[in-house]
Amino acid sequence: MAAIPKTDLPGYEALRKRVDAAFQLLQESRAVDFKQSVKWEDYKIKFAETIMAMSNLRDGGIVIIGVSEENGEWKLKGITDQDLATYDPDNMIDFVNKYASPVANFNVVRHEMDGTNFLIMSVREFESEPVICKRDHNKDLRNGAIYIRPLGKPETRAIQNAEEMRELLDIAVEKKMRRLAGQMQYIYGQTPPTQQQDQKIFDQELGGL
Amino acid sequence: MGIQSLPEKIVKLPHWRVIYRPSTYKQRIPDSQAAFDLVRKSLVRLRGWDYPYVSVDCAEQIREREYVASGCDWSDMIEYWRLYYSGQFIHLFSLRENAFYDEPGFIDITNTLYCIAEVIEFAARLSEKGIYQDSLQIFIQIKKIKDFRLWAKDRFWRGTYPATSNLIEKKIDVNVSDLLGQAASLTLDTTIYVLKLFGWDNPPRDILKNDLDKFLAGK
Repeated sequence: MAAIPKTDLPGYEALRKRVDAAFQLLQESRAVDFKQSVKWEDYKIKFAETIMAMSNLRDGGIVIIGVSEENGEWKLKGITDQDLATYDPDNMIDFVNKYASPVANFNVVRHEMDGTNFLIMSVREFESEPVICKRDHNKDLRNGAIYIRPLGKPETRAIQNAEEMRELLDIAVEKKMRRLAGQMQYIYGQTPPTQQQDQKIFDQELGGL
Repeated sequence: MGIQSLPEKIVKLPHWRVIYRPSTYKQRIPDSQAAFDLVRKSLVRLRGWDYPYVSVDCAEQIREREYVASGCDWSDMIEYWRLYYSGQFIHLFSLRENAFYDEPGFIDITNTLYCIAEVIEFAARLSEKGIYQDSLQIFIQIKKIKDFRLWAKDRFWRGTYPATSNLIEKKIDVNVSDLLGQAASLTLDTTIYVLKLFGWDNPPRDILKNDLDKFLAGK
């Protein structure tokens, strides 16, 4: 069984801050998903869907296990030792990538706060092509579906309309553009910026702000 | 207190002031909906707090004739931004070090790197969407910080590097293709420039680069 690193290691400073911010805000969003303490086996299909969806989101997202909803409020109860013992990062990565194409990149990290453990799945945004589900699993996962975290209500579901597809394609195109710009700069060097022509008008526009 | 009164509050505090400015003045964004869409689709979400923060509360989304604005006043996170239809963007936000230092008077080195990374990445993402087409100016200022010292919580970079003036600033003129292709190295160069203004002559580029790579990778 692979060891699960902790967020207090120096290599996870940004992730630690991201988790701390999620706990301060204590609300789900496109990039933050809370789940009560559960065993991997019981929720692995749902987790695979969410990880694929967060891979298709700008800057990815985090799933935090150990946050329960009770009477309309989130409670930081933590993940139990028994449930925590069911998470093996190697198995999790293998399982999710049986469904994800290309592979979904995510880390599994433990976060401790006031003696309470939480399990974090930190999902990276896709490298160059959006992540598509490549096989069926009963009615839960569908071959060819592209899972996303839509604007508005925090949830995971397949793309449903042209606007959602356009947003995802825009990200992919922009990433390609960035790589191309990097290559051009490497080959041709930096280009001198155009001279600023309207400094005074821009200053006036700010109105002293 | 309404969103529009936030600038008055922020400028009394130690704060960052960031401006993006295209090379020529003209209308680049058709309307308020396009402006908010642009910000929502370009914002940087690498550490749990969006850069910039767009309130979900409609009352905190300002739509004016020349610009849209939003912000928040939440604990140590006080910020306000405007995106003008000309493409000019201004963002004021309070120093966030109070959230993780017990007393004021410190500028956190890693947080400075992260802030500059967010500033440059957001500019790059706006450029990807075509609002800055040839080049732009980026102004980064940290204000009201005289005698604030650079500090790093988890590192042994504990020299005495105080700000000797109330203003630390860097102006960047950059071609959009260079911004898109070299955002990370521009972030590093800018961060090192800013750290040197505190009197730290040789900030360790390799370590900062390693920190930046992890930040951009969400680690």
